[in-house]
Amino acid sequence: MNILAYASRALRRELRGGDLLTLAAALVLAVAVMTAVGTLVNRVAAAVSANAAQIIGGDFGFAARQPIDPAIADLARAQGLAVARMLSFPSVVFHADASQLADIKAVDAAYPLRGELSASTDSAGLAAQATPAPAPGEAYADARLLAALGISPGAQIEFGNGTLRVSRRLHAEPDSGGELLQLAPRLLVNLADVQGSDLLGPGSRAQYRLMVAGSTTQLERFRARVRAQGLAKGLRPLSVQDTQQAVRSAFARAQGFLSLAALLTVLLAGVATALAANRFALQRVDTVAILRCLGASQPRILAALCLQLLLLAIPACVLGVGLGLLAQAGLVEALGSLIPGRLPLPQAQPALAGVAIGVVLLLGFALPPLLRLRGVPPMRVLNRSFAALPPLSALVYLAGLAAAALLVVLATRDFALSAIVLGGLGTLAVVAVVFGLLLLRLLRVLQPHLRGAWRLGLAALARRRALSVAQLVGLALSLCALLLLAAIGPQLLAQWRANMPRDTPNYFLLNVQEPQRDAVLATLRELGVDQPTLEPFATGRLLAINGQAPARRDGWREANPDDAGGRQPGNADRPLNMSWRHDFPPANTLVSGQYWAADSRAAEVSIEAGWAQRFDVKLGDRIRLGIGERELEVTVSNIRAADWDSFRVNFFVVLNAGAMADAPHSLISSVYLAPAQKSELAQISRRFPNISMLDVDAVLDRVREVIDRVSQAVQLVLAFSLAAGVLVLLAALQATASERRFESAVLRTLGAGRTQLRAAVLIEFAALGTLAAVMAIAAAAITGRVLAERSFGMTLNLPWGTLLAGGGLGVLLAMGAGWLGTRRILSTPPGNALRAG
Amino acid sequence: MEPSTLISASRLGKSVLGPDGEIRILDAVEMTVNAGESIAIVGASGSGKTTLLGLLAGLDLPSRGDIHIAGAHLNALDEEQRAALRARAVGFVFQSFHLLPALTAEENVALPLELAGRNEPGRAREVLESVGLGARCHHYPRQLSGGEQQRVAIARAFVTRPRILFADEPTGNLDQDTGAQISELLFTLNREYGTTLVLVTHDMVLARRCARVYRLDHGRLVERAA
Repeated sequence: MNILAYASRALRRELRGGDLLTLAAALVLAVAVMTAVGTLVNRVAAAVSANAAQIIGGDFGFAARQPIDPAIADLARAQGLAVARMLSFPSVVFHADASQLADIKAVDAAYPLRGELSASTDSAGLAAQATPAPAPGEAYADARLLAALGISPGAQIEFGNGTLRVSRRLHAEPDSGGELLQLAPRLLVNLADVQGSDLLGPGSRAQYRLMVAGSTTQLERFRARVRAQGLAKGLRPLSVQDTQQAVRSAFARAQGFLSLAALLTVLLAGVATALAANRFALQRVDTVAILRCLGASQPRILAALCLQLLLLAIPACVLGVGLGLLAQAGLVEALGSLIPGRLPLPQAQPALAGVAIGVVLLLGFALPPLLRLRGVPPMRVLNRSFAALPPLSALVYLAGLAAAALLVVLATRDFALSAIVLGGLGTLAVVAVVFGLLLLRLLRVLQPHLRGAWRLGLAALARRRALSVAQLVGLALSLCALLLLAAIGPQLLAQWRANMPRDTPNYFLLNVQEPQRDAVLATLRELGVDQPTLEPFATGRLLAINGQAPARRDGWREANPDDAGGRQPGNADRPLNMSWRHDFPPANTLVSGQYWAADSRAAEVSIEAGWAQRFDVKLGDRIRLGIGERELEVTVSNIRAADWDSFRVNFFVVLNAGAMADAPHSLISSVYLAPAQKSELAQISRRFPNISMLDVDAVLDRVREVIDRVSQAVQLVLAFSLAAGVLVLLAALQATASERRFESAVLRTLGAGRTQLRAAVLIEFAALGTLAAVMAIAAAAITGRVLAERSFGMTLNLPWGTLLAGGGLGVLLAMGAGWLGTRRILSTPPGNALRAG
Repeated sequence: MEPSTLISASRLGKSVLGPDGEIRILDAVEMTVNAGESIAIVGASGSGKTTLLGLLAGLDLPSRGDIHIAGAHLNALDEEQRAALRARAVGFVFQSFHLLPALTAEENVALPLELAGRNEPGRAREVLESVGLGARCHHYPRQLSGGEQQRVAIARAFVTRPRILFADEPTGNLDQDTGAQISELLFTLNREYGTTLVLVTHDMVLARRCARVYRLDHGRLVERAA
């Protein structure tokens, strides 16, 4: 037998049968979704790796809240490194009556060390080109700022106590850190203009940066010298690796949702493949028996069947890869600014991983039923009562499932998410088998008491025991996966997007100085703020816990020789924000210990629960803090939980105000201003130029935008999942089609009417669908809860309405599909069906 | 086994396990078939005719006794070796035709040649023409009538010029006229190719055309005059 010729002939003929088309469609979907998500993740990772130096604007650098020691810059220059200095802070800028909070970045002439600054002299941005840093007296404003102030390049703006000419529209700056991290519009100015202004008072929110660029050897020598001279103390190193991590984490949640959708699609495709392949195998039993009878050897028969699948898989995989690449282009479009910079061209590796998923599905889910054909006895050609197929071990499918899951985990790089989803669906499959068998047992008991269509429909379920259970498992799994995607996913996104209560503070006022206290409070009252408060705010250092150098328990930061201190892994010698007060802070709950009395002067501290856990701090521990030049030791008298979502000013460390005396500090406030009053905030900026304002609304708007973009991208992948779910349904129906055809023919020959038979089918599918829906809703709810907590760090409010509606829709779909599938069967003359046997 | 003996069965028995214990389908069957001979096995439904045919053709193994076919001791061969023997020396005609639905008439007929590794271009078409279906070479089984399908099956059985042809109720699914035509065709080709024919049938008219007739009664074989 010419195996290839036989396989291609058979494939051509059998494609019409439907099973192979289902199988091919499942492969196309799995390959497409894996290629799409894998390519996107791969391209973003490659872009981050390739552009990391551009993203931080140099090869290495330091950031600090205070000016960086000029000795470090001298040291860099001595090593032959290029040096650029930068300073960024939020501030309000004015043009006539218009004002806008802007993200100011002040740079020197050497900026940028890596990448290009792109700007144009026209406001439309048509003539954008590589541009040097702004000269003193000049500024570049981005499109948002130009629009907010209603100006074009050439206009003058008020900046601190001076004026600047906005000479260009800013298009792109290499070290923006991705648009995601930039909340306010950008104003790029010369460093000299900031140093001469009154914008930088003590305790301002400015971040100083020193970036260097040069060869690896020069960089290493520089880092070693800085370390040796102890110059890095209190500075945060900016390395390419850190930046890659930061950008990746901004993309991580979007990736999480996409991975979830991809994983579910692949699993659904696997279930559809298994069902279709099983029926394909069952229908090949007689062919194999004939071939065996005519003398074909087992290996040749198997080779022909496998080749048939392979011939089907090759175009399916090619089509899947093509579709996947198209879909990932759609994903890139949907995610927009969440994706950093320009992406490199798609690589072959994710497409190959997509094809590998296709092969795994084929080997794991389609091959096992084919392998069972080895056991078909040739005697079946003479006597059909000879066993058709030996039972299939669940272990074989488990192996396929494990391989598919492994590939998905490798491709999407999200182990926790995959484990939760796989665990949830795996448990559901087992529960569905158990409940399915119980239902069938119950039906046996009920059967004698039933009449008419009820008896016919439910008897059909009980008679096709194994197939009914397989259908139930397939329906429950696909419905659960779709509920996770269509009900739980949107709920997660909606909660992520959740609006704050109306009076949630939407502005933070930072860097208010003690002498300005009364004037600022009076201004806020004038603006209609109810009972404004100002709280002390100081940035200090955590020096010791119980006399030991502090170390984070979670080892959050790896040991980094450039890091401040750099003494041990997970070192904690980082700036620490703290406050002090007499009364218990609002938007907090006491977890343990006792809060100090209002008139207490004891050296006590109240610690936030999460922080206490990270540093392993317990009640009664002694903590040594440094604030400015002063050091003090305090005892942990209580631990409290802070409600961070309240958007009120909250601190990890709150000291007893009675013990603080005159520690250096500024003041901070959070206020709620109605949108109409926002413009009046300019009063504060004009009167108190040192005060920084953080617009929380802008943060929330940006978060909402991120969520909307992720939602769009997930919906695109969801389309694949829905298609895979429908495939499972079709495959489950096809699984019983031939038996159903024969049974219907017999019943019609005996005089059963079409209405009766249709009613029986509807009852059968309603029973299956309802049981599947109940189990799927429960599994989706539990999996969703776990997923929200473990993988997305949220507590999910279950959308019961949507879940129930989804379940109901699932039952209707199952019934509808049953109805449609049976229509053809009922229109076949009974004689034909009986002859076909 | 005598030199001219092509099939021999001695003390052949087949049992299966039923709900009430062992059921003996065949018991102590003794039988020899010489080369070129035609024999018919008749008997009531459930008498074990098809089981005996399956055992003689090496499609199943006996519970007891020995079978020799074309010089090979079937009991000593594994399934793969028996399949190779069937490809080499045996042809089949079945009651329900058993054509492969994915292959055309010509492809179905060519299949045994391919399985036996024989490259004989034009041979399949030639045999199809000899059964009167030269014009139907490219038709698929579902496009053919029952009689035509059985003629394709007969062409498939003779295409390798097998030494033995096993036929299981070859006219059982056909009307009387078509059955008579098929039976004529079967015996004509049998004579032409000098094949040894083992036929299982209910049809006594068909059985009487064979040189010898065996009757199976409750699993025991009794020879009776044709």
